[in-house]
Amino acid sequence: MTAFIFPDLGPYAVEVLSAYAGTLALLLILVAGSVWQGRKTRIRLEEFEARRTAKRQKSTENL
Amino acid sequence: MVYDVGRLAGLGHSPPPCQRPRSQGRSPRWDGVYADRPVHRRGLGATHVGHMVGMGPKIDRIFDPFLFYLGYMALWAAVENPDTAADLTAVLCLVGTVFAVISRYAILFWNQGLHQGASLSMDAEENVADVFAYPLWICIIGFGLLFICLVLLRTRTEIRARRLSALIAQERMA
Repeated sequence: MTAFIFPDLGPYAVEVLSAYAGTLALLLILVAGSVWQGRKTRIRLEEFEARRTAKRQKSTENL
Repeated sequence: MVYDVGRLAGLGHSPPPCQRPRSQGRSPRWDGVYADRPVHRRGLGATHVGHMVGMGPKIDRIFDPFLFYLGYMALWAAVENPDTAADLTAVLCLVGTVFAVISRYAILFWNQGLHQGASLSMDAEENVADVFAYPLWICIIGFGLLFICLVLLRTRTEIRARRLSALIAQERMA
């Protein structure tokens, strides 16, 4: 197995590496934001449905 | 992960620009990568005048859809009713789709000799070298998979959000 040799980017090192870092940061923000928003919505929906179900059971018991 | 593997592979195969010969001779690592075009002899789209002229159309082709996407998000945020916003942005989306195709082929329509050719083409006459093509294909596949995952994830989130707002509205009505 050959070791990963970091390439010599010459005078373009700053541009290339900053482009890689920027792309990676944007992708991480996009993925993390989507996952966080999805999780938040799922928890809110589950809480609301649980509350609603409890409320309905309570009103059925009162009848 | 596939996308990151492709990016790393692409970085690993980056040719050292400072070590590339300026003469007409081809470096073995650059065989088949438009090495016979003056625009690319000095690396990363630089020309004899030192500008990124060769990269211009490519950057422009990415920048135009980016502006369209900003407009899409602005229009969606500007309209209060989500259904009306969806209708209006759908029209903009159709216009953007047509524009994307026009922007793709505009380079061929008004080719003035400065533009870089297609990196991936089905004809065997002019193709990018394998050391660049394989990472590129891995990146394309990885980004496609990431796109599908995000679309499914965000669609599920949107369905749940709509269900939640419908349940809240139902409760208020009762």
